Amino acid sequence: MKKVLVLVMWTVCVAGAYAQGEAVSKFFNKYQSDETFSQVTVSSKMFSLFTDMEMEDKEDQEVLEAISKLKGLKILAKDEARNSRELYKEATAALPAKEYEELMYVRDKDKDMKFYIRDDKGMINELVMISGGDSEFMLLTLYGEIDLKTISKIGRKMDVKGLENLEKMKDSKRN
Amino acid sequence: MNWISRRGLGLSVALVLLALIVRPAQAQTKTTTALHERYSEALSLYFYKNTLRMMNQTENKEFDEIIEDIEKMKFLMIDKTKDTFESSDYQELTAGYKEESYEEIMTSRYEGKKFDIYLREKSGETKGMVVLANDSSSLYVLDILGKVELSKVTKLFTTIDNSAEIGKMIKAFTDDGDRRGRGSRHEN
Repeated sequence: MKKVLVLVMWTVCVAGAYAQGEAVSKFFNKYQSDETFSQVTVSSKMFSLFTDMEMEDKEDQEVLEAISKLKGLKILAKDEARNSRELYKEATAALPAKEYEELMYVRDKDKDMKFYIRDDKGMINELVMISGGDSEFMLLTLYGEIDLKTISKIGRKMDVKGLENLEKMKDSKRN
Repeated sequence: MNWISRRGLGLSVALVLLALIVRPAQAQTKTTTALHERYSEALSLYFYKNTLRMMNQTENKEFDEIIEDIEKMKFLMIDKTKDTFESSDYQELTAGYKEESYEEIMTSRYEGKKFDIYLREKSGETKGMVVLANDSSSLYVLDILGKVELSKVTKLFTTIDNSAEIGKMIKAFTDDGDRRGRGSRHEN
C-alpha cells in the first residue's frame, strides 16, 4: 500500500514538473477565446505518435527522439496587431523571475524576442519564446523533457519560426 | 440437405449479410452519424480503400502511403450558409467524440479557421481519427477508420479538395444551395 502511495505521489510530482507553468497558462487562458489570436495546441499523444515513424537520417532520428520526450506545445499569435508591443511587455512581465530564467534575448530590426527556461534540478522542463514586433506578437511554450541542443532542429522540422534563433546561442558559445 | 440445415444455412447467410451491412455502419463514429442525421442535406462522401486508390489518378506513391492504413473514411461537409451551426453545436460535437474515447491531440485556429484532430486508440494502436475543419461558412468532418500519418493529414485534405470529381460534387452541392436562395456562400 505504501509503495502504491509513493508511486502515485511520484507520478503526480513528475507530471507536475512537466506541465506548462501557471503564469504562461494564465496568459493563454486570458486570450485563448479571443478570435483575433491564432492558436495551436499539440498534446503529448501527438508527439508520441511521431516516434512510430522510422527515419533513415541520423539527425532526423535525433529530432524524433527529442520530440518523443515533449509533453506539449502551445502557440498564441497575433498578426497585424496594433498592440503587439503591449502584449509583448505583458507576457514578459507575467513570467515570475524566480521561476523562469532568461536564456536569450534577440533584438531584430522590427521585433524583439526573448527565450526563457524553467528547470527543475538541472533538467529543463519548459521553454518559452516571446516575440513582439511592430505588428506581430507570438508566445510559444514547449514543455516536457527539453534538450536545448535539438530544440532548434525541432523548430526547423516543425516549421516553428523563431526557434532557429537558439542556434545563435551555440554560435555565441563557440566565439 | 434437410430443412433444418437449409434454415441453418439461410440463417448463416443472413448473419453474414447482416454483418456486412452492420460492420461499415459501426465503423463510423456515433457522433458523425448523429451529425449527418441532423444535417441530412450535408454533402457526404464515403471512401473505401479502393475508392481512395481510384482518386490517385496520377499514381502518386506518396498518396498511396497516406491511405495505406485507412480502412474506411467518411467526408461530411455542412454548408453553414444553408444550415445553422453555432459555436455551441461545435462544442457539442467535440464533446461527442470525447465521449466515444477520442482524444484531442491537436487544436488550432488561424484566421478564424479551426482545425482539430482527434484520435482513438486501443491497446496502443490507432483505431480511428477524426479531423475537423471549421470556419464561418463550412464545417468539414473527416471520420477515418484506421489511421493516417499525422504529418500527412493536411496532404490528404488537399488531395480531397483538389480532386476534380469531388470538387464538382462540392460545387454542385453549394450551387444547389444558392439556387434555392437559402443564402449566399462566401468562398475562403
